[in-house]
Amino acid sequence: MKSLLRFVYMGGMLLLFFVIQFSVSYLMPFPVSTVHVPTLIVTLYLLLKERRRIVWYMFGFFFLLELLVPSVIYGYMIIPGVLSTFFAYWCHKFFFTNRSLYTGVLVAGIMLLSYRSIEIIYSFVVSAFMPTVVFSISFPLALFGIEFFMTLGVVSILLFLLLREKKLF
Amino acid sequence: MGRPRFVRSVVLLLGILLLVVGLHISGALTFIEMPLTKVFYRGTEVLYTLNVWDGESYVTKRMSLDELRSSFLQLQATYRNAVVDHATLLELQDENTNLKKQIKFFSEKQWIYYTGHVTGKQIDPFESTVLLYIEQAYIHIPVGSPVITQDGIFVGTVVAVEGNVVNIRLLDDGNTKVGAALLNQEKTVGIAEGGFGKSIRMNFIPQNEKVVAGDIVVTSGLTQEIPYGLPIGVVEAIEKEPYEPFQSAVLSPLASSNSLQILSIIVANINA
Repeated sequence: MKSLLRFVYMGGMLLLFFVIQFSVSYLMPFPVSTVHVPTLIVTLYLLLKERRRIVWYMFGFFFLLELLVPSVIYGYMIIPGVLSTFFAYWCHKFFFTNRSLYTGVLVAGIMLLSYRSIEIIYSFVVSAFMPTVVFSISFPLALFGIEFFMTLGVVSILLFLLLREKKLF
Repeated sequence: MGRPRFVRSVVLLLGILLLVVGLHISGALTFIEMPLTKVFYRGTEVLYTLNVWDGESYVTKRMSLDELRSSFLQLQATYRNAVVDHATLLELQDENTNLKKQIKFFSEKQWIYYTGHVTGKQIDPFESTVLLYIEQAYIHIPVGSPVITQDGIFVGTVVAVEGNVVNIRLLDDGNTKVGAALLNQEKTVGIAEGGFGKSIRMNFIPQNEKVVAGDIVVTSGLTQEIPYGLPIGVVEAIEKEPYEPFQSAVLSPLASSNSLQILSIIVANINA
């Protein structure tokens, strides 16, 4: 019974993540639509719950994302997504250790940077093995800047409100 | 807590992820993936169609009284402009001739195509792609197939097919490169490239070719799978430097990437 409830809870969480992701991407105008939702979710979850299971939540989340919004290369989202979540978790758990607005923003920054870096590395590795995939080094820095600052901005606002609510800030 | 544990965890995670990728590629996960895609697509389609752009304004399902009033006033202004524009239509007879040629082109061709509703777009802001849900797409739709609107305007190419989901890279995506030709006397060829916001750029046009604003650009047929003559856009400006071997043209696309709702994928030509 307990495991069934846990399974339903996990499914509910995944569904919630989906609604947030697609609402931001499809309904919000630019530049709000550039907010990196997984980073937002992971940072908030780590700061509020501090549980390792976020890595597995993100595994399920990115697995479904790979099906619903497939990229040219399979794994383009799930590999950077899960690994960057793990890095964020590790940094939060063993380096920053405390719950504050500043460490939250730092964790979000680390997660987003590692996500994009792993994404580039992954597409480079895949292009080396698959001749049909062309590795392009043209990375729109301006767009990345917008994404980075929008994500960190939203994370800061939400953390400020939530941590204050929990009297941790 | 130490470094070995971190490395061990990363290696373990990477192993699991690579296993998932491997299972996906081998098709072993199809039995989970297909039903999941089917169920979740209903939801994402609803969210996507809530916010389909019509020109420069949102098409929302609910409008307040003020929004309705301003929309009505806007429509009136548009109508007045349309009446004025009607007078200038006579001056566009030359362009009209070109368009007639295209219509003739389409009526002569018999395409095998699949039509579908756009159900979503890529969530990554670095890509300009839309997604179509077509039953058994993985059997019928080959990667590289051209995609057109209901008016026959070329909007992009199929870059990936995952089960029933077709991923279409649009013309304004930074990775798009399509052979293009101008409908002028010389039938000038070049490469249409995206990544410049809403406009498209036609590069590698030889310096000696005469290009003027208003020229119509179509697919050149030099890109594999994409036939000749699918309209792309109209030349808006020309960038020409005397010391460079090529000139380039800025194109205004005929179909806006924000207003795509029904698309057709050409998979074969019966006459070919």
